[in-house]
Amino acid sequence: MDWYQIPRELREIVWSEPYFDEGGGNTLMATCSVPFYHGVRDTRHVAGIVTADVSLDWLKRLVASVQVLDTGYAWLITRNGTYVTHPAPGVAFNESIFSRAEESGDQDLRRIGQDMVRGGSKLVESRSLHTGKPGFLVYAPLPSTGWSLGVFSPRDELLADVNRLALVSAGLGGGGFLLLAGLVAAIARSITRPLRRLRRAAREVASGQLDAELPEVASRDEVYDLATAFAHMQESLKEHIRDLTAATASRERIQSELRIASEIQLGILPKTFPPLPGHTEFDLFASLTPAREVGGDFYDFFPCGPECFCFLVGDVSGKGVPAAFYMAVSRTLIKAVAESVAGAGQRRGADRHNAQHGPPPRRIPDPGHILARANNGLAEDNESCMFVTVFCAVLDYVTGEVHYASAGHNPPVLLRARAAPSYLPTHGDPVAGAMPGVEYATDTLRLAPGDALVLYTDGVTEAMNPAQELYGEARLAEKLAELGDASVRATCQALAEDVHAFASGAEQSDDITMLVLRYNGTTTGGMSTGDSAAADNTTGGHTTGNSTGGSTGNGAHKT
Amino acid sequence: MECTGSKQGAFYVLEITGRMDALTSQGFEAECLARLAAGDTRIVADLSGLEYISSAGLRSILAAAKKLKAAGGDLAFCGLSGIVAEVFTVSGFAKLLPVYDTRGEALARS
Repeated sequence: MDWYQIPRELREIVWSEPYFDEGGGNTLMATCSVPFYHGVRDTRHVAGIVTADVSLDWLKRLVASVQVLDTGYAWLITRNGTYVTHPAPGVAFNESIFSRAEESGDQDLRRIGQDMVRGGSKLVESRSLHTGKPGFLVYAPLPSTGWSLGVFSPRDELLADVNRLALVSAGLGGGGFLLLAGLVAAIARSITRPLRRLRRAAREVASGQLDAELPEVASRDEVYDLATAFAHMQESLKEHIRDLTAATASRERIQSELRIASEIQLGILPKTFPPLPGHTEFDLFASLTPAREVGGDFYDFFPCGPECFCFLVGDVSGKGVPAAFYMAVSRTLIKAVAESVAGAGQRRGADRHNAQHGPPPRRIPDPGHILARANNGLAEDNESCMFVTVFCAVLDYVTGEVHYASAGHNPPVLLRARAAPSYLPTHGDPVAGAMPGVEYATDTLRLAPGDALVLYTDGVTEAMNPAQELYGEARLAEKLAELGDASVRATCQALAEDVHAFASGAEQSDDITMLVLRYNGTTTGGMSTGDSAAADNTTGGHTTGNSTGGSTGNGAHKT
Repeated sequence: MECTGSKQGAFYVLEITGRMDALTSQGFEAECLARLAAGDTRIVADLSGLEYISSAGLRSILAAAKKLKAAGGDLAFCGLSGIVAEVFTVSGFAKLLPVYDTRGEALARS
């Protein structure tokens, strides 16, 4: 009599648990009982209960017909948890949600059942006991009955669309990426293909094959610019190497020409020592060390007239090829003039001899005269304004008398036996070749046997060491004093070595020339001649003086 | 080598300092020619600041002197000392060209 007692006590509408109405409707029923009352408000009391039996077949069908995806399903439980409908056969009315939870030990299901019975409504993630699939369960109460409807949706089916969409997106993305990567690779390849070919060509060029073929670049982009620049560089390199080859060849040709010029230049200097074979009246040695291939220094010596011997040293202004040309001209001109002066003197002497029938007077060629004539020759049409300093001397090797003149040259050193070296005083006559019409003073001195003259160029006294100090005239005199009466050759060599040692590696900036002449006296007279000459020297002949016939005097500047 | 110049009366005075060698001597000749082109034919070179002169320097002086002379002018020198004076004496340039002790003397000549 639940349908009567419960609503009467509760004073509210009560739905019975579903039951199978056997004999009545022979169908699944639920009974709704509603109490009705006497009186009003507080004094009312239950007068009776009205019930209505409701067939639940339609409800069962309704719930069963709910199709959730493919394997999803819906079920209904009463307020006690008893299944009203369930897709599994034999569950409805026989089992409750709690009994199933108990059976399978599923605590989640128990909690869900409790919440459903309480009238809760929720979406929870759970596993279906019926299909064993994970999924989502949505439940909500049916308000008037206090029953609860649950709908289970399997996760895989619920998310199938989402997954499909994700898959499609991923497929599209991946495919697109691959396609794009392929495209990029193709584009990159098409861009780098000429670059790679250019690199191959560059390697060939780098290895020396300047004719390596460069790739054609059709596009007008950076690669084209690079290829163009590279082609330009290749051309420039070829051109540069052609120029370099030509320049090298030209330099080698010039070098070779300079070598030959050097040989010619040194070749025109006399190198026979002693200079007059068979004559022992004097010894002479000279050396020339050029600073470059060719230079402006020179020395010369040659017989000029009977028993007369001319020797000289010269230094042309400047260096190199111009100086070498001027040196060759100067040396040739001076020699020609000296020989011509000597010849003229001889002829005049011979004429006079013929006229007077006396003993032939010995005429020594006048060095001042030689320099004056050579100067006029050199100064003529001298556009370059080059000039040459010359010390020119003529020795009478019978008497030991030396006539000398200087055209702006360094004063030579006189080495007397048993005396300190001394520099010959000069008149400061101008260099040769500067201006025509200059006259040069001639001085005379007499050499005793054993006396020597050392001629040199400023390459000796102006030799520099790394500390920029000059070799200097003092050092030269000192060295010559130390060498004493060593042979002319030994003196020259020792002096050259001393200058070289002084320079101690500093670059030689000027030609170094020296000429040493030592007078031995005449052999016929033996020592007696020498002795008498020496005696003569001690008495009076040591000072130098003008030999002038008045023309030279002391200064020869005529304008 | 450095060249600085100024007009002093009828003369143009060039003060030369430093070293006058193969490398620098062209500068002196060029300076004189420039003065010549500007109309100064009488030049006095004050060498009191000159430390050294090589044969190439002498050649340059000679070339300048000849060109000035050809133009009716002249090139005189003053203030020589030390090695420069010695070079002028030994080479005979002191005889070839007018050389004065002081600038005053060089400027006082007619």
